[in-house]
Amino acid sequence: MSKFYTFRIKRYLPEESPSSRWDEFRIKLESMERVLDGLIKIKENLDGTLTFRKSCAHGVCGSCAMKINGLNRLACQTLVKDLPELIEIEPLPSLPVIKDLVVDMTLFFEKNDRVLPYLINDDPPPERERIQSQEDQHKILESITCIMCGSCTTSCPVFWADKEYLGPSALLKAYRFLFDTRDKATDSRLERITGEHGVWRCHSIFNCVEVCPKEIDITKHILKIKRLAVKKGFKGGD
Amino acid sequence: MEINKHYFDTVIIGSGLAGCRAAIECINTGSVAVLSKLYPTRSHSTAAQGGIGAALGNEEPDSPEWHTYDTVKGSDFLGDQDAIEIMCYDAIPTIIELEHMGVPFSRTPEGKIAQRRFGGHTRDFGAAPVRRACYSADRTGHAVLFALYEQCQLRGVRFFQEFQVLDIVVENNSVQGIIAVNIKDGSLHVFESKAVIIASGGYGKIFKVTSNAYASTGECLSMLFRQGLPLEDMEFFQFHPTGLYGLGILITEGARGEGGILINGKGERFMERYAPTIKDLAPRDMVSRAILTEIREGRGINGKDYVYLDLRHVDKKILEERLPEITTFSKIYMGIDPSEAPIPVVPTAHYAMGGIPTDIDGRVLKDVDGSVIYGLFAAGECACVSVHGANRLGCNSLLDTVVFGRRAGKTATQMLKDMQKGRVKKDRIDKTFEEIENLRNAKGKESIASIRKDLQTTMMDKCSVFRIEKELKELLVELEDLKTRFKEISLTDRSKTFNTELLEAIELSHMITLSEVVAQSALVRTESRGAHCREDYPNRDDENWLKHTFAFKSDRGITFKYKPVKITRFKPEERKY
Amino acid sequence: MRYRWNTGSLAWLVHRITGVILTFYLIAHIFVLSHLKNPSAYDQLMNFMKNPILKIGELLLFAAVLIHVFAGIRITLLEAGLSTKIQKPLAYLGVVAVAVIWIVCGFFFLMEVF
Repeated sequence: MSKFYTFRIKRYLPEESPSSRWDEFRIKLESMERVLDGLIKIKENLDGTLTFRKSCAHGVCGSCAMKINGLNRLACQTLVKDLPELIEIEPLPSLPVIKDLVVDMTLFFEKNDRVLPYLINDDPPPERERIQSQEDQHKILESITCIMCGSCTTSCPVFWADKEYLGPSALLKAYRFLFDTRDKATDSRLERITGEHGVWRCHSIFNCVEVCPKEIDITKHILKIKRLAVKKGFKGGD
Repeated sequence: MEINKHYFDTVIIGSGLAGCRAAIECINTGSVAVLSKLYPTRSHSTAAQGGIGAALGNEEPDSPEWHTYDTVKGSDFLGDQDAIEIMCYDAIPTIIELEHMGVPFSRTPEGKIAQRRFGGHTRDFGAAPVRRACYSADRTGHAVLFALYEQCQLRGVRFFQEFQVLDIVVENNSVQGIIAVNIKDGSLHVFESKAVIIASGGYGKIFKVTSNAYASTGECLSMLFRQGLPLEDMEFFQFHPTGLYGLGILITEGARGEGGILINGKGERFMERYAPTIKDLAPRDMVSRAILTEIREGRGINGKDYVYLDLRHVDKKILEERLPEITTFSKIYMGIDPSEAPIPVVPTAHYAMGGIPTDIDGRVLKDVDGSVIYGLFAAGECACVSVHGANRLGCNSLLDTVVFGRRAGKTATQMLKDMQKGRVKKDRIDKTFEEIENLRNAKGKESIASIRKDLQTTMMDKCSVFRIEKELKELLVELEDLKTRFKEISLTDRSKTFNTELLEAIELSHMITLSEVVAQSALVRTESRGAHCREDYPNRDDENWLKHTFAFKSDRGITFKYKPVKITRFKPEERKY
Repeated sequence: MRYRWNTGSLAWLVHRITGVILTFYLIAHIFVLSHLKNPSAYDQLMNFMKNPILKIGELLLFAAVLIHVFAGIRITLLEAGLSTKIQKPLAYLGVVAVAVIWIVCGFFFLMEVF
């Protein structure tokens, strides 16, 4: 079943004009088609200058996160049938826009670098794999599904107000290693994330959970970090 | 024109599994730059679902020897057995090393790496399916890619994200460096280096229905080909049996490894007829052909062009724990809960067995005699070692990327001290600049989208699972026409900032070149082997065709040379499962 | 910046706003009390406070206190380890609790005056 949809898209073409504008496109889409299909059709048939990121087109690479009808989502994972006839699309909030729906994600990725985002274990490795029980692996199961699309951090009011704040994505990354039984850098990682712009800034607003395309309960993970930090006596703030 | 010059000892193109694994090796001895046209963790390795093969024997007895046999047989005896043996024996330490680097594998009750069954992987040389695919739910590629990328960060690898490579400069038999454009602002960058490792992935986007990402367009292969370097075994393109109907989104073979079965319109488990021993877990080429045969003979679901993948009898807990991703895909894109209804599937273009010919150390070959281009390496899907021969087994692709990514990196590292710093000459840069400027200002009458659509459609119709001389010849005529049309393209976006339309034009031009090579190679090989199925030559012809195809660009079009297959232990036999 | 309201963000926002209101009230409260010099001034103030408009103001203040308290309890429970899955039900429960307490107490409170 196909239907006409109006895509109202916030455009920003820096080489044309220093300010942004709204463009409307009317296109016919099948009900099972995705917002990304709509954007591609517009680019192919109506306006070749429309710019957005895309790659895998099935919700695993994280390229096409954008604000669709007021919520951050992946364009490739949002079916038009679940949206009203008027579909309003903006770039992810609170990051500098490069062009149209493409934002500069440097700031977002930099936060990750601050949480020691890699497994640290200086013990000599055993001959075979390190043993990890199924229960222990399950502790990090949800956190490893993160695709770093940026939906969470850019939906967080704390991040809107404080660009220094680590944000849900980086904290989730920290969790992924803090609770991995094979990792040995718990203290140095906690040290880094309990500072002024770290984990205590999370006010359990749950916006990140609402928008996560992988349905990760990010706040739950952040709260677990907070409890671990309290248990270990990391107050931070200095 | 302002040019930004960089020097790195090693430059790696592509930040997927092969690229990141190579970078980890190279960073020990010199500076490394990794270029990616996406953000590194968006590479298509992240979409690999089912597993990575290694005969760890964690779940049941297994041996690398059986793994070698399965891979050789899976390749329809076209794989080079010395390389296959290296891969299957290296698999074990490589996976253990990945685990030590932090890959969050799923676990057995004893806490070891969990393993599952996969297509074509058997014990005792074909006796019964074996649990060999190490996995992390159905997000194995994602889990491995993140761990490798994170290790690269730890070791200080420089990443240049959203850089599109425009040219790989090979002069005087050695690599000089590469020319790339920063997508963000359109600035031109020249990377001179001692070594270049190409790990740019596949080119499934030449087909209409594919599991591949929009980024999988294969321009690096075409860049080498246009310079007169060969491409090997390009006629072999794998179609994965289970892509979501209409979309081509991959449903992992692990679904069948966990007990899923394929059923046709009559409700029959038809794979019993095609592969009596291992049934639904037969290699992909056979399953894909079986599905399409069922459909052609009118036994699709309701006579339509798809079959069902049935997971209803699989324990719900297994679906939740081991196959959560494909469960979500079915729900989102088809509105189907796999525990309640079967999933409509069709074969989808998935993996290129062919590519840039390399030796077992990842060095790029310039001819069938084994001579190499100095300093140039390739690994992963873009390369052809060849370990996959005519058909790749499931979970051998991730293995290929890490084993040969590592080997290419190691070899590059060892050769570094004897290698000269490359020099990219100004006229080459000027030429590249001119080409991209011409494209950016192209004012023809053809649109990129319409050419691309026609290309993908015709490739799908005439050069996918079943091939026949008449259609391949028609296809080549159409491709000529598309080439002419491409000269007349027009761009609407003339800006320098994040010009994705320009990138699509560049990609399209290379896709046409690659399609031509694929079609020509398919036409030349007058036999059926593995994924290459010629209806006019339905049998395997070992007497004439037990050899690799090397396609070269010449003034007379594409010419071919052949390289014998390395056979060490397993003599070609009839392939039955 | 426009962003669609979610339960969690609304809860957070009213928690903040009531917090700010209560802070200002507390300052005013202490300021006024500390400037009362003798019993008659106190009586005068008490009489002044019987003004119905001020009564309604006090009722609103009471609502702010209730909202702030229950929002705080919700967050404390979540931080202490209560499942985040019930963050929304908790918020709704808070709304109900605030409404019930406010209406019941408000009724008795206003009975005193009218």
